[in-house]
Amino acid sequence: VDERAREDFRTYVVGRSAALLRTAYLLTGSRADAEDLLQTALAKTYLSWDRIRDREAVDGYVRRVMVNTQTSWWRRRRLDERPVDELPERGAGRDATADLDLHDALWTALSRLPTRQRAMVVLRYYEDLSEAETAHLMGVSVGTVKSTTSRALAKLREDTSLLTGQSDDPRTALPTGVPA
Amino acid sequence: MSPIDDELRAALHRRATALPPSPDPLAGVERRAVRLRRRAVATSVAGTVLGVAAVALAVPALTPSDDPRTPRVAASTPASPAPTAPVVPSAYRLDPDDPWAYRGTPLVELGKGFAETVAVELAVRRGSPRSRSS
Repeated sequence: VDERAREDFRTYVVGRSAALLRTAYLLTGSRADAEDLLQTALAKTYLSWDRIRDREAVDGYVRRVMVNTQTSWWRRRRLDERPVDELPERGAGRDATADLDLHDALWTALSRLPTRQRAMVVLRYYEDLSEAETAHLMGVSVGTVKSTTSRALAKLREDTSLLTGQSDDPRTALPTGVPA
Repeated sequence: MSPIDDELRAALHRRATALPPSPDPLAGVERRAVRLRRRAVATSVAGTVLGVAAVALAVPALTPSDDPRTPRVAASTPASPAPTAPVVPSAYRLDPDDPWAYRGTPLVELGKGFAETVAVELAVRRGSPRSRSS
């Protein structure tokens, strides 16, 4: 990477890292993992920077690297991690003024989804990508996006914290009377 | 659009916007890139070395050897060997590796003085004086 391209890359990172960090945070569920994921994705992008002709497509490239890297990490980690009902990690950077409402219960339920389903939900409902764009980014068919997203939403609806209005996290419990 | 879609979208946006940005986003990116590249090169070199080592070990084991003391590696083992007549070892059997070699009894095995004995015998039959002298 020559000096001009390096400067170009730095400008891109400074301008886009905040938005990309938010996506990484939604993919991982924790601030520390999000920073790690974003840094790795940016490092991989830096190595391929000369080959990326269309600068408009860099965001999509970084998102794709993040999703693939997160999936790869999840595969590696699941060998020595076991899913538990209770979340071991509470949101450290949680907004103190946030209400204990359905959104928090949804967030808790989202953390229970498998990585692939979670990634599709984030891409479809946070990044507002179409089914075709999501399929292209994740390297799957549109049908797979539809079925996986549908299964993810079904799981979210059926999640006990949403059904009962009781989140595992006492700080994110649903107030009574909120429809699931 | 179902209610859960809207709620999900709102929940994700609320979570995301509550996240403070990283103070120095560039920190460590280039260093990590160098580390990733080094690891990729090391993995590639290790793979090449392993491949070459595997070929170097496999080729001599699979190549037929000229040395009769070296046992040959069977290409495949038949599940049940076909019944065959017992092989009788013979000094005159053709050797597939050396079909043009002489198959007769070597002279050295006929005993010391065999050639001289034959010569004397021939001389006796012809009435040669050599038979008397010897």
